[in-house]
Amino acid sequence: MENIKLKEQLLAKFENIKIDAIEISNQLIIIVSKENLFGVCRALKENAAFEFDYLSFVTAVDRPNNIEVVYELISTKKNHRVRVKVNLTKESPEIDSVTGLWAGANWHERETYDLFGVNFINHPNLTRILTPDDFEGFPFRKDYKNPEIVRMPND
Amino acid sequence: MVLIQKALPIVEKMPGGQVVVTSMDAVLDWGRKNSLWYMLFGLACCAIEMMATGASRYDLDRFGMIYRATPRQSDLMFVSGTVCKKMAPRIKRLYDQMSEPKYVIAMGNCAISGGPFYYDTYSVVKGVDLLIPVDVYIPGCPPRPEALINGIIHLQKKISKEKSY
Repeated sequence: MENIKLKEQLLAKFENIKIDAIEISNQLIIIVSKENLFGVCRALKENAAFEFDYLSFVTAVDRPNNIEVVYELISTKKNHRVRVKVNLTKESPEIDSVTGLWAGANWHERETYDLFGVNFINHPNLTRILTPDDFEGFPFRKDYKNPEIVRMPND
Repeated sequence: MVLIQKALPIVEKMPGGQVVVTSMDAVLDWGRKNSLWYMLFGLACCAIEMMATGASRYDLDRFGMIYRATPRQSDLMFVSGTVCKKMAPRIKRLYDQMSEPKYVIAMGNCAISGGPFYYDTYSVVKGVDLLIPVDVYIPGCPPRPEALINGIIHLQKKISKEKSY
């Protein structure tokens, strides 16, 4: 489905919960509040018009004022894709896990927890995946401090 | 006569009646240096170069070097690549599981000092010699098979000078 058509359909479908939809570099992005995320994802997966059967990745971005969690969804049947973004507060980044919809989200969410410290509620096993279990802090946060890091001179 | 009796355990009768007399150390070291079985174990891109060295073109078999897929049968460990902090306890354990005498070659800049990951990183061990003793360091990113073979020959020279007492 074309991006413009998909955008219209998405806005019509989620009219009552007010989502934002923008298109940047030919990529359709919808911005959802954290309360609505699971419902929106379920609709995107199960609605026959969208059929997003594949979750490509879950990641996060550390913005100056919030932490943005990003989901890239692809429909292998309809051949279209959409990016779902959710803004969370830096103090308590918490969001519902989507492992119940796409089992592949499991390790992606663990990685996002490991590096950004986003807590995924109802995740089956939210433990660190890349760094050692006794690691302290979340290294992809901009305010991450570690005295062991040697800085590049003149950098 | 007493001397000859003492020497008997290290004297071997050859077929045809000749007798070979040598020092025990020389025989052991000769055997060790020409049968360095290395552990089938790689960490990063250096491991690709190590595989190339073990394969037919550079052919480590001609040095009597065969890979072993278990640390119990290995004499030599190539630390081939970046040592992450999560991998560090596993490498230490593999080294501890190897039987004596055991040797370690630090292959590539990452295993020597952290290499390109020395600065601005939270996850890399800055040199495998912080974990386990290293016999030979081979710089390069990654070292070519010729460099690796050169390092192995250096290790063989080192082994051939070992004394057991």
